[in-house]
Amino acid sequence: MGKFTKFLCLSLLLPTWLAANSPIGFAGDYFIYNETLDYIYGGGNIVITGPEFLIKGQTLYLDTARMQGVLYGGIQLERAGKIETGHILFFTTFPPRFLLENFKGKILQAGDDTLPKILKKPAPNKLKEGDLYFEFRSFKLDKYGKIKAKTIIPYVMGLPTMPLKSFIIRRGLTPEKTMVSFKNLNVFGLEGLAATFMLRLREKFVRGDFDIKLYERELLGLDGTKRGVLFTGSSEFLVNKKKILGISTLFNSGEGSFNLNLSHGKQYKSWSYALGQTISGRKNTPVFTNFSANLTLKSLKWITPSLAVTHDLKRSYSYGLSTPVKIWNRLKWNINWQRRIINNSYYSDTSDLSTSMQFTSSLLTVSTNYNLSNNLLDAAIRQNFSVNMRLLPLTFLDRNLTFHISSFYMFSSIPSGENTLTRSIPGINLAVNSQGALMPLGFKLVPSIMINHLWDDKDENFTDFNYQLALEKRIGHFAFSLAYALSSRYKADNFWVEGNNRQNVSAQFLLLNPGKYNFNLRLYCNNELALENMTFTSRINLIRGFSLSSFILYYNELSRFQTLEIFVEKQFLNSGKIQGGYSLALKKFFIRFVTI
Amino acid sequence: METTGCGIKTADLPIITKPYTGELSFYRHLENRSGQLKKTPFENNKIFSPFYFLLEIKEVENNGRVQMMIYDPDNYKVIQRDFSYGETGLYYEYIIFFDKVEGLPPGKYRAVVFMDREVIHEAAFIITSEKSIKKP
Repeated sequence: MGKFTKFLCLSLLLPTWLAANSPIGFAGDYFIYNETLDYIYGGGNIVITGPEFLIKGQTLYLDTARMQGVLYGGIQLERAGKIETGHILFFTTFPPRFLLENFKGKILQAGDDTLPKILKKPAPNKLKEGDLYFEFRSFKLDKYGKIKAKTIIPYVMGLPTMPLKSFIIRRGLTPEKTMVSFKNLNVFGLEGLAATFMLRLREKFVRGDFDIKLYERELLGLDGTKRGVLFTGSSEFLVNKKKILGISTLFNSGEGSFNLNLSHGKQYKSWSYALGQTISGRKNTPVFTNFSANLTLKSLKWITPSLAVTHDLKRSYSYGLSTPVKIWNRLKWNINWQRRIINNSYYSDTSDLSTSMQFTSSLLTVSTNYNLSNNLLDAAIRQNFSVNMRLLPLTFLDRNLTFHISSFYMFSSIPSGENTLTRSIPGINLAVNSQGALMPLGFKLVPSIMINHLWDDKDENFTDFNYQLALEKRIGHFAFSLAYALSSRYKADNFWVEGNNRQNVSAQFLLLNPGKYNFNLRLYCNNELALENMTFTSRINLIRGFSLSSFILYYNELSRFQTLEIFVEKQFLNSGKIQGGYSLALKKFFIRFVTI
Repeated sequence: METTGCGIKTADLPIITKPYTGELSFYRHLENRSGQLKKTPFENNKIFSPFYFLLEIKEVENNGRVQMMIYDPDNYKVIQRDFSYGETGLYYEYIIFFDKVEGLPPGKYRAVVFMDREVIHEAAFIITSEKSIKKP
């Protein structure tokens, strides 16, 4: 009896489930779909057919991203044996919901009044402005947003191509089920000509997403691997819907290489653990393996000790302890100790102790690092210590003047033969930046100064001064700047102070109208303030998304153009560019595809 | 029957047969200056009364009647404008209608465009109080 009741319930539910998931058909005189706007307009004798309804109208606006639309003109809505009429029908497709409106002295509404009545409604001429659009006579829309159209004319960059009887013009969301599908085709990418397929695993015990890329490089004259299959992705094995093992995979048949990472971990209230195994290899080289394990204790209040072990499944291994300490929010402290034994083509046994501390306050930040590496074979000890202190920027004159002050101290002790080389280096940095001061005739003067002083207990004891003074002027779309930079280094040597300078002058002329054109000319002078080189870049936006670009680099000393490139460019499908023009460096005309 | 290269009948190809609305927008002022429409837009796209509406319908054939109706926040019709267009046998790439609307208090309104007794477009819009815009 129980089985019969279950069968009866399923029999009653099945038609409802089928009705809710069946695709909806649209037919009419004309439809247009723009893949960038993700929108469909339809005009003339529109008939929408669903599993439990039939709708007729004249003008359709359908937002395929949101799966909602509106139908205008002589609406007839037929469902459950009844026919309702109106002027406008708002609707959603999955699940089907309707709001019918009649416009007389008052708007009369019938149906689901929670449906949004404000929709964007791009006109067909707007939809025709895209790089890729389709005109067609009918289509089916499923609950994943897939659109399969019939009697189609595809338009690429405004030009009609070969009519097609049937074509999927929108793939929609990928359903959550095991499947293999075509993903994309790339030409002139890193892999040359490459077709990528997607493998999606959605089974009870395993879930995963993989890319299978078939690539051909030799055909396009690319060096290196001729062709191959690249298999990449990750998956996880499940028990009772919980992940027990994660696997990330890379396999490249062309290069003869692979990499497998297996991971397993679990989190408990007071402790957690993680296990990992890496196996990788390449043609003609031995397989590399590495096992890692980590155990963390989380029950203590201020410290979180963690034990880590690695082993290459041969003779090399390491083990260590780390304990992040957090007593005060502003102060972070970490102590880490590790012993590493390498026993492959050579033997080493080291013990590393490192501590780091960071303190943050409203006035300054201080960070310190200390590393002690003890070679247990020859008892040699290496030490490094550093401390950095940075004051928060000081601002004056309504943030027009900013001071950045920081200081540091570094100490190192490295064994060298029977001696130990030690070095300690303190230093200080000061940078002063200004937003600039307004001058007569609308000119702006922007100075900046940077001073670094560094000395150690050996022979380095110098101060660097970097000055820059820029004069700027902007008139409408035109901007001009002239900058002078001077770098000086002064070194104290007993009573003497030695120094040298380098100077540089640069000028920039910029004509910029965003969305229309952009011209940029830069002049650089050398240390003797003679003109060294000139660069010129330009971009002019043409019609239908085309643009004309150029790049010129001229060396004045050699009296020659180092490079000159002029090309027309067009971006398409939001993923690629086609460029065609002349390059002086290549000494030929070129056409190239660039993937974005 | 004429067919395309891929076996599809030419008569079955998608062809736009219905006029459609290219633009329905609202302006502070519109003026026809010797065939050129001078548009004065609202600042920040906030509409306040009085205003002008501009309606552009594309791909129009023959003659007919266009009605522009405005419904108030309580769904009652408050404005109706009737226009006649075209001549029999002629094709127009586009036709433009515009008119002034006065006396509507602030609120949320809906505009509906009928062409030969069929709705071809509708839009919701908000009329703001001019005083509230002028306040700093």
